[in-house]
Amino acid sequence: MSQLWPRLNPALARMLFTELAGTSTENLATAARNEHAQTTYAATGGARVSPRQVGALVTELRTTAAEFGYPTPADESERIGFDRAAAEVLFAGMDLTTVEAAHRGVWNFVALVAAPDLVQWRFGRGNTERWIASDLTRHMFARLWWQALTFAVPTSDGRTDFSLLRGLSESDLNQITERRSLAGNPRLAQAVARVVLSDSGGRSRRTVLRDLTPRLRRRLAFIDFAVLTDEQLDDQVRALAHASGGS
Amino acid sequence: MKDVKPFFVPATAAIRAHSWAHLVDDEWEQLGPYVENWDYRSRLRLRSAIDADMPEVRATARLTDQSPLSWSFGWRATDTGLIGEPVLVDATDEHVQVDVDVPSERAGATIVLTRRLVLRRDRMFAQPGEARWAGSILWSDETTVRLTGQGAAFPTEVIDFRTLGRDPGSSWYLDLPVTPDVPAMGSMILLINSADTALVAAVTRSRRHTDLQQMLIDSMEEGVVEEFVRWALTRWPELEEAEPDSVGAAGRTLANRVLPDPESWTSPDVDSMALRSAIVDGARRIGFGRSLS
Repeated sequence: MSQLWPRLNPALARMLFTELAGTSTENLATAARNEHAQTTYAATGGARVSPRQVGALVTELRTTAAEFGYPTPADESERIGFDRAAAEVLFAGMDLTTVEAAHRGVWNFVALVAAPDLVQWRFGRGNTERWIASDLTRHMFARLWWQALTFAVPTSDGRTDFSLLRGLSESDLNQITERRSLAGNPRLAQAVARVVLSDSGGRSRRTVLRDLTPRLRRRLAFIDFAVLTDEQLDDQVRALAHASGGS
Repeated sequence: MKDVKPFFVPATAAIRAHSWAHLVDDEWEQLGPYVENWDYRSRLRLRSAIDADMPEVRATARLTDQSPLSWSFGWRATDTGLIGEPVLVDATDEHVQVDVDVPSERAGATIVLTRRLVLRRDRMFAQPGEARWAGSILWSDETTVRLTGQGAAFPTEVIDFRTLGRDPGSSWYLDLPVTPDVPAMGSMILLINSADTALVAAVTRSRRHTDLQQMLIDSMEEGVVEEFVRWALTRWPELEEAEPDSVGAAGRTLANRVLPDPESWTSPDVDSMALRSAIVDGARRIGFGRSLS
């Protein structure tokens, strides 16, 4: 049965965000809680996570963060390394339906109640979107869970292969996942990832994606990519990348 | 605006799509705008049928070379854009009926059911104006269904205003963002004070309201529309460029529906009472609040 996570409404989230101002990463870790009196849950449809389960996930995320320098300030490559590893931890640790994962309150709770120290360490306080969920592709934790969902490839032995996700840069991910018409079809997003990771024809991947994504979006107006086989998908994406001067 | 494709499409009269049906207690019922009692464990079972004059379809789409065509029955979630795996059926018979399951773990609060006629293989020797690429959409229609009930249309939460630092004697508070470009879902919420037990009872009851409950809901609806329209008017020039699905786009749409000429109400010297009167009149006209007729 899928999990129901606590939800923190945006008004409370904004209040907590203000309250946490000026607190160090170490003190935020101390202040982190596995539950909050004002949270709500979806009425039905799954099993509520216990505070112990919340704590176990956050502990695992902190352990992952420690591998990349937490709690001391991290450089760009450490932060990106954490993102990729944390996406897998989060996806494995939060058994969510996509309706639940689309509910901003869930992510407000994780960021502001359960693991504010990790948000502070990863992003600082400069951008409230990283703390209070509005755009799911921008929030500290929501974006990682959705990235994992988009690029998770089931293997024949029942495991999940995240090698596509691991291979993509932050810029690649932004260009793919911030366009719902692409990321909404995981098979298409994976085909794009496969093509840009395989060969960029001497151009930067950023350039290839910058040229490819608008071409794909134009074609989405009259092509249903969901009906294509993986081979057809790869062929079409590769042809468009080639037409834009890429692989 | 008419959807214009870069290739010939079938004559619309050649295709007749029947209403979607869904399975309720082992009986097929016509699908309405929302599914009651859906939750994350509910597998939505749907049925759809299409009649098509396939020779006419092929002739008018200029695809008489036996290129493989399929009907695709699928869905996508509107909040996340996530697309479900479609059910594909060869488009050879005059009548086709298909059952579609929408798995609960990948659905959305609102889903769009899609039916499409698609080309299955690339046509290397397509003539100008003929569909060339596999996946080309020759015909399509869409049906929107809300899965989490009518209440989900506007995010609402009951909460103790004392814990929020809001006026403890007020009944509701419409929390709107400062910037209009943030997504509507997640950035606006109607907070209802748990201390107003009469209002809480009214909004948590889905049907058969008492007269008092209906009056409380009507009054709140008019107030919410007024607040949202006023919010939109104060930033009207910005809203022209608002992102689709943003709170700004929602505010602009509502203001345009409620007021005949929203821009004329954007002056800082506007008569506040006259504006209130115009908004309430417009809100009632489109079905919010009391009806005087």
